[in-house]
Amino acid sequence: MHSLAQRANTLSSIITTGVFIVMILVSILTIANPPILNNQIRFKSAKPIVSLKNTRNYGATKQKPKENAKFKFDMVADFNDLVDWNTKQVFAYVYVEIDNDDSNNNDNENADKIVIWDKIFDDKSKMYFNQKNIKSKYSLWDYSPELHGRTGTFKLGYNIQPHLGPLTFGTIDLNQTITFPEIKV
Amino acid sequence: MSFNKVSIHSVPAMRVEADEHLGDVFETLGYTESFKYSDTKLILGYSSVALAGLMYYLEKKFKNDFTDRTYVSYLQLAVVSFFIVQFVLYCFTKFVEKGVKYHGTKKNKSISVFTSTKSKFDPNYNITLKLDGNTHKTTIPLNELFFDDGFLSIDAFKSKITGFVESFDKSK
Amino acid sequence: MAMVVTSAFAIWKGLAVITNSPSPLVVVLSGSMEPAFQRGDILFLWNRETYVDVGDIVVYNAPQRSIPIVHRVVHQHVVEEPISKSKKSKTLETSKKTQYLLTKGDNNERDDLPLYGYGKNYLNREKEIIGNVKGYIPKVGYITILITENQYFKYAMFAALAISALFSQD
Repeated sequence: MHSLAQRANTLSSIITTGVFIVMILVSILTIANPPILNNQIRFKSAKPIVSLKNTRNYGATKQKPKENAKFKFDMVADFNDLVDWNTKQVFAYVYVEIDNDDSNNNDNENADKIVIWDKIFDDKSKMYFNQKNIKSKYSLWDYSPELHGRTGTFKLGYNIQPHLGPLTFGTIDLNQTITFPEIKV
Repeated sequence: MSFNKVSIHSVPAMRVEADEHLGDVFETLGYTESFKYSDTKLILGYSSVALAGLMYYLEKKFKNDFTDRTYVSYLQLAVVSFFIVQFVLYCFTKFVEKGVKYHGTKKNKSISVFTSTKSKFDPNYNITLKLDGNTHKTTIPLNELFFDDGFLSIDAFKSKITGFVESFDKSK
Repeated sequence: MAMVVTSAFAIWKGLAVITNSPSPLVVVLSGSMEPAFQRGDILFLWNRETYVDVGDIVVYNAPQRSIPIVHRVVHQHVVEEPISKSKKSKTLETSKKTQYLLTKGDNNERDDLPLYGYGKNYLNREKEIIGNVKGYIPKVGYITILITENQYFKYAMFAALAISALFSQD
């Protein structure tokens, strides 16, 4: 005679063990065979527009205004390579890496990175993206208030979200540099 | 001594009930139960509960703040100690106790008793005695030890064991 | 029974020590990261990297909110700041690198600035991030949401346990 609690306990431990085993197997599969984006992405950005903002929505205050930049760009990208049986969605994002002014610090690992645009691809039949004149979704501002005269590069990052298991990340250099222009008044 | 009603169709239930009364049986043979194994296990068990309690106390005291290096090092110490104690307990059960169900002494003689059943459905109760380095084995069908109402017959159990022990241990 | 609870607690703390996260597994409570994460998904966290990257999904405790928030990093800055010299300080370094982050929920229109509270523009990676999401299991954590948020479910659970205790032997 087993009590209800015992049965519930056994059932839940079987479920937990099962889920963890599946999780480990999926993780091993994903890590052993990481998806790589082989296609070249075509990307072209117009000259950014820099303006001075003084509200909190742009990372600034009245006393300490910050320079913000916005962009327009064209992009052709094919994310089909990233999709496999366990893909729930691909989250793609375009960000700007602002170069370090510090000349003795030439590793760009700690460069400021700011996401300006993103898109969720959750339909496996619509992984091809081709659009012109895309407006940046998010205004760009840095930690320090000034942008004009500084340089940066565009990068594309992607995050593959599985149905279950580990998240996978990747970045691609979009081979496009920018120099922030003077403030437009 | 207390008896529990067990299902006479469940071999594991009967085995557990018989194991629990080994102490009573060997007492009539003049043995005193030694609690050194169960005491060791009890101490190890209490230490691990105390260590878990310590972890809980630390969590409350430091508000579970992982940026506090002091908290993290104390917690690491507690966690490592806990798993060491658990490992010792596991090794003790596996390699020292080795399934000993009863451990007793009479004058300068010591006796260890191991019991087992082959499977959940095999009612043959295998008893192994270790008396002063010599091993003796016997098998008793569990259903012969139980009344039909599910209670253990301590007298039947005693007479079986006494007969078995006296077959090789003539000394009184 | 006490041993089971004790071991479960110790394993939890062991995971916390290994991942360096006060809460190595979290259950998603809001829909702000949909469709990536839904309510009830269980997330596995890791908190040993010095810096996290843009695009990473992190869990943080917002000020004045008791529940942890799971959002994506959209700005990252590593800033070298001078250490305020106190008399007791024995370190020779005069500056320290701190990472500042801005986060956003995938399903939210805008970034998390309103969640940070007045005057706070960034999260401090070292001080405020509980962990970086490495993997997940969908939906399994929904039971904890039911237990904590639905009082009827809680009572039903207790009733079922009590009844099963009455009918079970020993």
